[in-house]
Amino acid sequence: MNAKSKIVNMLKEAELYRQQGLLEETLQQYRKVEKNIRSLKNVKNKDSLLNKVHGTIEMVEKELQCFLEEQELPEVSEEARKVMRTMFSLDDPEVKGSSLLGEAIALAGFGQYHAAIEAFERLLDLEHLRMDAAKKMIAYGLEYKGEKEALHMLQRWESDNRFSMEDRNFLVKYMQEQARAAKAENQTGTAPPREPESELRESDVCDISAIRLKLPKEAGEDEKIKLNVNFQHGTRLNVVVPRNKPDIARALQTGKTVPGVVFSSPIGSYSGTVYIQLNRTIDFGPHKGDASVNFKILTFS
Amino acid sequence: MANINLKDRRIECKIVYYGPGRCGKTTNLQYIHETYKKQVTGEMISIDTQGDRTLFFDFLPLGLGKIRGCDVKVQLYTVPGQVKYRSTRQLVLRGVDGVVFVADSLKVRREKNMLSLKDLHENLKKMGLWINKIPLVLQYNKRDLESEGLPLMPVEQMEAELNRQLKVPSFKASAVNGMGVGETVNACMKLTLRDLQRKFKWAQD
Repeated sequence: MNAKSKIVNMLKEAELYRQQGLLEETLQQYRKVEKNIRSLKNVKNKDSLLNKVHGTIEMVEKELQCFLEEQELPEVSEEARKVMRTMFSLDDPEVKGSSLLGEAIALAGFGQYHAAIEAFERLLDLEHLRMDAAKKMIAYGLEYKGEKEALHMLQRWESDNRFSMEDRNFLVKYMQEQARAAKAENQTGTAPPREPESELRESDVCDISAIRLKLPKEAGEDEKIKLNVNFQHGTRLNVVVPRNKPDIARALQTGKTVPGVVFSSPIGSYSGTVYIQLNRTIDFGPHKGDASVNFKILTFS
Repeated sequence: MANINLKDRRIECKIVYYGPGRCGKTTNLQYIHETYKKQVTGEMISIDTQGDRTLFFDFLPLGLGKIRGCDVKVQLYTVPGQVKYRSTRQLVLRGVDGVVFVADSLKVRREKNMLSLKDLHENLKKMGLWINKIPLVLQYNKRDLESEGLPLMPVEQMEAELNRQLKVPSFKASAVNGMGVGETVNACMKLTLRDLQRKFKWAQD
């Protein structure tokens, strides 16, 4: 296959991914096309081709960015909310009004915050559901809008004679516990260490088939070990460390920077530094028990 | 959880289509809606999609008529596949009786399939269900894209990577033209009803 047909095929593939709505894959494919065109010599319209591809890359990047940045689910029409309420409400037929509580919980679950709060608000009139509804309002307020919103609710209820002093004290404690639990989860959870910046562009790195690196001394390995690359996305690599090599898996700790790495590719060897983004044990599928390690390439030459 | 009324001889069960974003879950339901008109008992509901992406869920009610003395109704649902809509998936999965896992045959989606299957496993576990106990079938979708020149994973590879431990029925499919869609849903319904029979002994001899 000559260079021209190769690029035509690659472009076709990129467009098909785009038609499938696979934005990340589209972007990756266009970047490969860009790299390929750059490597061509004696092409008349090289610059104009590159401009076109670059324009498309920018467009797809923007589209992908928009998609990734959308965090909240949109508020839907009343008709759609009715479907959510009726299909996903879990109620206790023995408890009067509990279907309304179940409906409000379903709305909150689908990210319909304002509609859910309105529904809980109505339940405050029912004495036997009042505290359950108030607790849910505090919990969702904290989850979706933060501590300020939950505090605002408590302030409003201070002068609300539907709540006794005892109720109010209980709700304040409940809110404090919920807020504390959320903070603890954020701290102990998966907050990753700050990732070092890399100035490398994806096109600066070629296809890498394996990496060789020296583990920290405590791993007891003096020699460089070789790890085959499972998959690559630009400057990001993934390797799978088999379960019978626990020392290696343990030594590749998330957040560590490893210098002196040798990258093997079909066209030659390169050296550089990697940052370990993630190291987790695979707990399902054929690689169950193996470690999946993600690296970010920081330098490559 | 299935709604079983032995007095009125009525069964209503829930099957959820699960899988990574853009794998063709909604397309499966659309094809069933357009093709199995006799069994479709109501409109297909798709709540708010963005472009072609499902943000909440799709719903399609089916009526299978009398099976061993019982009037059987099946509710088909899809979940949003994008990773960030995890809590919505958990909500839709609540009360599930059977699952169709739609895997994308495109080579570039290999990892997304694995992550989505893992996500299903975790979400089921949260509800006290076990992935190798629940009625489950796999569908290897988008087989038609090979003729367009896109690199697909061989079925053997998908079997080895997704079904080696589960060992559940699997089907090649191209939901966009209907290939394998009927076989997949039929197999899942059979497994689900058999499972419910084992648990609730609803069928008449």
